[in-house]
Amino acid sequence: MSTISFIHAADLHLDSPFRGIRSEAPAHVAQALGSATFDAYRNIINLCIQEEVNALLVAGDIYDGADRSLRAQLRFMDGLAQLSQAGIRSFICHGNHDPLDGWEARLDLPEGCVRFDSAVEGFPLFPDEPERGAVYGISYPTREVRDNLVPHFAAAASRDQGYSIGLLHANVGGNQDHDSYAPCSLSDLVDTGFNYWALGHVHTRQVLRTGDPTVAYPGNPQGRHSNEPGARGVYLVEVDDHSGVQLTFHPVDVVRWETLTLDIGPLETEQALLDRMDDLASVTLDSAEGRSVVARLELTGRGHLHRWLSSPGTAEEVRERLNENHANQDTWLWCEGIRLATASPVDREAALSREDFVGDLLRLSSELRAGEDTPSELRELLQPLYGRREVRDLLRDHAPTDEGLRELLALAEEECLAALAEEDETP
Amino acid sequence: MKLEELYLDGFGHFFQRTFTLGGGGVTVFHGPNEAGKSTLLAFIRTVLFGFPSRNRDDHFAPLAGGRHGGRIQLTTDGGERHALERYAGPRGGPITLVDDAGMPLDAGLMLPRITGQSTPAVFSNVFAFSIDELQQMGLLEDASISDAIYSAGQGVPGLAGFSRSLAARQDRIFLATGRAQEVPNLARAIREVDEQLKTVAGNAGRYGSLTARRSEIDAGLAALDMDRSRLNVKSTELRNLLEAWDDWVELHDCSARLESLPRYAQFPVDAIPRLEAFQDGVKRTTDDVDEAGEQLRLATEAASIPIPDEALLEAAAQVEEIRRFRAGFDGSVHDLPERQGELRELEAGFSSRMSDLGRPWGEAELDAFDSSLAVRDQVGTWREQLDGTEETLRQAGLRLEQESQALLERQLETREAREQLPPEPPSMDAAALAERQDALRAARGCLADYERQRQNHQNLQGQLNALATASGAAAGPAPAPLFLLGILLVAAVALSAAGAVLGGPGLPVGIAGGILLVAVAVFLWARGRSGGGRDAVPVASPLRQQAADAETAMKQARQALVAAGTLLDLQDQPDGAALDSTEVRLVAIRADIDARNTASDRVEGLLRREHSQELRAARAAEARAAAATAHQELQDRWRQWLRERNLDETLTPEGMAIFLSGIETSRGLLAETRRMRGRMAAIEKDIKEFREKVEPLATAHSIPLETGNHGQLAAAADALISRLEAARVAQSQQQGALERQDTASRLLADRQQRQAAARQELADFMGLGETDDHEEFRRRAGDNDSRQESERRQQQLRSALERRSGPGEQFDSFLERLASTDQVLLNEESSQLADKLQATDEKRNALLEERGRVESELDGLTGEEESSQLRVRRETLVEQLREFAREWSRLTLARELLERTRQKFEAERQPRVVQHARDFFAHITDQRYDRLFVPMGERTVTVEEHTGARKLPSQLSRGTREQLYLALRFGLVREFGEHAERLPVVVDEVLVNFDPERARLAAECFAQLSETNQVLVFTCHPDMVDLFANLPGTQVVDVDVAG
Repeated sequence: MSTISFIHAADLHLDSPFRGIRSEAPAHVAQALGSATFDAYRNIINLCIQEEVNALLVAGDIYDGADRSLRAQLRFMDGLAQLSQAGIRSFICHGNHDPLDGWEARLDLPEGCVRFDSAVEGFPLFPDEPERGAVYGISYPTREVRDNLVPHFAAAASRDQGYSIGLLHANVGGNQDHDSYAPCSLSDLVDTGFNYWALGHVHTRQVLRTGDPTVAYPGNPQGRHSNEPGARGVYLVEVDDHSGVQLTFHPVDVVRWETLTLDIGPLETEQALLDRMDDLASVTLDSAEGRSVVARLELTGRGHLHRWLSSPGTAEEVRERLNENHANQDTWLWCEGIRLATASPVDREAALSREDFVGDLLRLSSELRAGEDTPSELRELLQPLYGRREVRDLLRDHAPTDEGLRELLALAEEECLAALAEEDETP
Repeated sequence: MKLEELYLDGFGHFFQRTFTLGGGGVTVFHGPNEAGKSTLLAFIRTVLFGFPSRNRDDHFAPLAGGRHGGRIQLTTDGGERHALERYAGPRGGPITLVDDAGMPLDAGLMLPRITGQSTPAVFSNVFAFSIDELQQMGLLEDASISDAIYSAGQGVPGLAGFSRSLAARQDRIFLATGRAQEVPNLARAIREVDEQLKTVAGNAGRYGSLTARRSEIDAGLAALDMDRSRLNVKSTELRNLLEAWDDWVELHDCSARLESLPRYAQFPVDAIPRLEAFQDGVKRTTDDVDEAGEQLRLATEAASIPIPDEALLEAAAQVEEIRRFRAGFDGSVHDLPERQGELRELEAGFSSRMSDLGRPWGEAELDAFDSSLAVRDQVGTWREQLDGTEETLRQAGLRLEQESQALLERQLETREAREQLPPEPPSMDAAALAERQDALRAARGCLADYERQRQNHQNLQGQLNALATASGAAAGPAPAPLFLLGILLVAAVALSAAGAVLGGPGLPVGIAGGILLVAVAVFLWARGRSGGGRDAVPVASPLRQQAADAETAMKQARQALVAAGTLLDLQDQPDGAALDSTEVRLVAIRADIDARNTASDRVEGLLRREHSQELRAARAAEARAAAATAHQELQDRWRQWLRERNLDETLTPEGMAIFLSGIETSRGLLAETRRMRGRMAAIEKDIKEFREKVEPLATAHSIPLETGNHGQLAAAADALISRLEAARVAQSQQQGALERQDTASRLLADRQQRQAAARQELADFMGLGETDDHEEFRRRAGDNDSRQESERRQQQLRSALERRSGPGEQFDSFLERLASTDQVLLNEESSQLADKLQATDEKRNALLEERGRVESELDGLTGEEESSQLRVRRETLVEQLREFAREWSRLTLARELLERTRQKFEAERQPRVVQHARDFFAHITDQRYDRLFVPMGERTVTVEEHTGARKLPSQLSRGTREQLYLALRFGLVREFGEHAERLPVVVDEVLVNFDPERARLAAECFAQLSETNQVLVFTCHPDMVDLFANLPGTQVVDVDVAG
């Protein structure tokens, strides 16, 4: 067997918006964010051409459900056409976010491109040399595919297929962070006798198994929210008789998500916070490999600055100050929001033993958090908002859980403590 | 907790001041205004809870010195005794806590317990307050008052403000009945975005129908294009036929014309021009032959002309030489008389100069005279030597004159000095005078020695006398009285001083006497101390011996003095005056000797100088004579030098130099004369040689010439030169004519050959036309040209038609089609086809326009970014909504927490607080207000009179309202004391607004409170002191005198 090389990509989610952004971005940032998934895809195409691979494999979720825009489809086809012109084949399948029953513009696939249908099929990697290798794949006919699709691969595979690759959008091993579509186990995959499983669905890259078969998720090529931080990209897979299979990760993202965590405990002044924040931003930008960064600032720890930060409007001013210094440059860092997890420097344990209003408040808070009926009591308090007709649907999945309510209660207690006890303790 | 001792190291105006507090009851601190009562209150607050952090003016800086801060000795409720020390510094000031044994304790751990977990605010509001705090409470009104009261008890003054802030922030985000808050605003914005997204989603459906329509249009266009193509082919064919119609007709005419024209097999192309060209060629060659013949004739005539003076050409070299010297000859003839005149002037000048040398000089003698540089140097040397000897002679004369004058002066001085010598010699000579002076110095030494010995003897003798007197007083000598010792000491000092003043020999005598007197005084004093008399005899014996020795020495000194006086011619024993007189006399003699010696020495000196001057004058005379001799000898030798050169002996060296200069000038003139003579000879020689060149040739060529006639000689030379030039020109012309004759001969032959060739070509060309008649040839050529033109045109027309139809069968078919139709039919057919094409194009254009619109719309759809931006905006809005929801939830829970705490506080704490307060308030008001309560759900305190009348705090008088707040504080003190360390109560002038009776009753409440809590009362009013002093257990501390 001679050398085979291909790019393994998945979860492009073309033209899908970034999630969780809390602020209106300035024009140049909005422009970059709007085109980020396309730019990452363009980087994939360029990488294929640069590395002169034999094929590009995309393991589902090319588009993003209802957001399967016409623009996304056209751009995707343009990229495949580029590969076709360069003599590079492409194999694509659809996942839960872009099932076959979704709307689709009538676009012709370029020559050399294989799009898998709702039944497992196999196609040679090299039409003129079918014995060198084949790609088997399947697309989701509809979003809800809860069956294990791996057995269909085993049934469809032929014996003299050379190096066999399975292209599948699935949740292997029951990853709790992702919906359980096309669930299967690692052993299911191993038992098929395939050489490589090009998986999609899990957005964090991971190699589940190396050897024969190699099972890998490349992750999504462009992080889209704060829970998808760090470098994102694809795997360059090279296979030959001598060294077997070799995976090389290539970052193709154009914008990075990072969380800047800063402990206010040791900081004495507001200026110290701003300076430290600037330093952190600079370091983050330096380590982003030339990418721009969408950052979330998470302020933690107990300190005197808590009260200042908690005052209305201050966090937004801090965010704007950070953006003034870092968002208006070629390679920018734009802070989309601040998560305030700070606390006042009040000694809660000492305050807890006080025989005064603050002591009563803390004891009451502790009792509430420990009480079994507390969540339902508190949820009742929040019902006017979360039950409101015009926002009910928007907040449905974000209504605080029991644990979330306790966390909110802790934050509420912290707010009271900072306002009532911090001043009180100041001599 | 009880405070036992306050030590203020430096706090306000207190400096290292200690206040000891009583063990029980109320402690009253009394003092006038500014005595420091408020300072003590602040001190207690500060040491217990720390210095204010910043921006406060109650630091109470140590105005009187000391370290800012101090120490409090205290006892906890559990009986532990501690010392708490705090001084100013960061974070409230460093604190030290030690136990009764002085062991340090962990203040951070212990102090909260000691202070009952209280805070500075709670302590200031409830336990340690002044009239100011009490009155501030009274200033609060209406709805805020209850919060304020609670705040006073809870230590959270900002509770009301914080509650309002929470509510305001919460309401800004969401209000159940509101529509302008953040949440409904965001919900509306999201709905708007959703509507826009729906519209954009419709665009995608539009994309499908548009692409379908585009496909239909493309199919219609394809069909129309096919029809159009077919019609275009037909149209092209008809257009070709119509456009070819005129060619077709002309082709037909051309074929008919060719039929009528004769055909010549080899008739040349372009026959007429070529015929004319050949005829022109024959004519041109004929003209060339004629021109060459004329040239030959002219050259032959020129070559036959004879050359004049041809024989002179052989003597051309001699004539050329004559030409070269011709100009020189004219110059020589012209210069000769002028140079002869110049020579004559030079010879006359030379003769005149030679005569100036004093005697006749021949040119040979002048040439032979040596006036070389060596001779000039010799003359210079002679001049220097003669000048030198003359100068030497003059100097020697001057010197002789000077020395002679000096000698006369010396002789006069000597004579005058001799006249000034003293007339008489002195009485003794210098040696005798020196002996007498030595004798005088010895006599003075002897006199001093004698006086010293005499004084010593006299003293010893006095002591002996004193001893003898003491022995004679029976038991022994009495101790010397003190005044005697004093006198002896004074005398000793005076004697020493006198010796010092006198100097010379008097000094040792004075000192020795002084020492002796001191010794006597010491002796007398010692004897007195020892009891004296017993040792008198043993002391006198050596003293007598000393006196005897002194007397002997004195006599010897006297003898020496007498002997010395004898040498000075003095009789008896000389005294000081005699010696002084002798010294005066010896000094006068010394002066005489010195004067005589000085005058003699001067005369001697002058004599030595006179003699010396005489010698110098003689030497000067000798030198002048020698100089004169040397000068004369040198002059003789000079004259001898002149004679040797046959020159006048009277010449001086200066004259000789002038003579040599004249010799040189004469020589220059002689050289110039000689050069002029040579030049004259050369000119004459040139003229002669020129004649020798010209004369033979002139004769040979018959040119007349006379001897000595320079003008005729020049003319002959010129004739020879011009004749030679003429012969040369003629010779050259003949040579050119011969060359032209040869060239013309060759040219003629060549042109005759060309002429024959041209005639042959013309004949051959005419042969092609099958005639030798030029006019016939021209007619035949015209026929041939017409035929060729018709054939060419026929070919052009066929080619044009073939280009329209295509080759081969198509061409044939095309010709047949043309032959079978006519122009009218073709035009009709073409018009019908154009109509069809126009209809097709209109359809096609309509479809193209529609396709453009579809494409444009599709471009808009495929390039749209609106949906992406809308989705981003929607995500952002939703995220903001969720964030606001989270924030609202947090604020809601915070408000809930506050509310529940407040309810709990009111339910579990306030009743006891209020109960305690009610008891106190009833007592203070003497049971007028026997009820105090907080209505449920209200935030105010209400009091009730025993009559049943209820009042709010705002309805009470100022004093009663302060009594109410005081009672509330007492209630809180009691309440807190039941749960934690009982802190001391410290109040400052809180009773000033109470009437005497209520003040007394309030004082009783303080006393009652002091049973559980230490009570410190600060006041400046003696009445207040009395008020408390009447209560049992009260301790009064005067701030001014305490410590």
